[in-house]
Amino acid sequence: MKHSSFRSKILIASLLLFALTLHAPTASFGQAGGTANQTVYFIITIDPAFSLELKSSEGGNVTIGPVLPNGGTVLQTQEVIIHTNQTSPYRIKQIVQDSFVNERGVTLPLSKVKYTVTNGLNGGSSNASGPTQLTDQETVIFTSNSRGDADRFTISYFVDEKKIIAAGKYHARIDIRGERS
Amino acid sequence: MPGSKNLRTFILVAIFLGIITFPRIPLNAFIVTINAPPVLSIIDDTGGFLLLSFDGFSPGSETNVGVVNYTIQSNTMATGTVADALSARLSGPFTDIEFKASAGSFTNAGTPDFSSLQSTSAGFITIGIADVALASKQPGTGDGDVLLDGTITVNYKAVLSTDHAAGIENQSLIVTLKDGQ
Repeated sequence: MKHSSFRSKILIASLLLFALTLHAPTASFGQAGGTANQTVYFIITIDPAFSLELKSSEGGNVTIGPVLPNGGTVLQTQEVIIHTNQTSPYRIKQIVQDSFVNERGVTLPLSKVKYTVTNGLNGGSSNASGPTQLTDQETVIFTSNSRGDADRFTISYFVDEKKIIAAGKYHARIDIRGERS
Repeated sequence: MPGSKNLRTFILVAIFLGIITFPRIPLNAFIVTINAPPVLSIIDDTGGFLLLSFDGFSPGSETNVGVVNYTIQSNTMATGTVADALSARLSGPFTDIEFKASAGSFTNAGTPDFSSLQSTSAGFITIGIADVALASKQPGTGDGDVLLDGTITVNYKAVLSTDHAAGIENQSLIVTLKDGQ
């Protein structure tokens, strides 16, 4: 969508330029043996791209469970794919937007949910290679290689709570955001 | 210089387009769901058999006291007090024998905010073929009120009401944990 929008703008700009140049007088008009030149300027741009794609077994969302007391670790993964044609390093941040709340209003502390992040397949590095508790703070979870290449990595979310937790389905929204270093 | 003017115009348009199409910070959001299914569990430590032996055959003779520990877990308890959370009944009546039970103390395996069980009587009470409350659920605090996790001890004995011939009598004892919902 963004690319087609950009092309439309370039097209409009080009048409505008043509309209302006068609009305420009030439110095050699009407002179026998002379030449008439008209210069048309082109600027070719490649739209800078930097976007994120999420892939999980649920089309982007993640469900952890069933979580049972002493039931062991329950884990679910989210793959993050970074598409970019830029050449500066970037960081990927995780922001937990809400607390985990079930349908009866019971809150599950963020500290009960942990995650790990793999290194990138293209040289990026994890900032959470070991189990890390979720927090309500904006957290850098991944750093690209020095060239800022496109990359992909996996976040594993899990609950290994030994104690029983109130029955229900707890939901929270998590944002994954990219930013240039 | 019309050509220079066109060039300047084009560059200005291009810069403007470049500014408004520069990629914004990419952001992807997803929902994490933690599924904690309902749990209502009671497990005894006797292995299914409890032997009580009389020391005589005349009225008032008592058996030894059999002790059974019940491990209890629930994440769906009704809030507040549940008067008959733990109850017991016999599968059939004994002849000239009173079967009695007394709930002991409850050991909380959860956090201090969890609810607890409290014996409904100070001493032994007679168990028949209808459910008799052994312990009530006492409220926890906050979100812990719906949670029950711990161990309760119940003492059992039998008392003869009349002279009784030698022999063996069997009945099943059914102990029920109820969430009060």
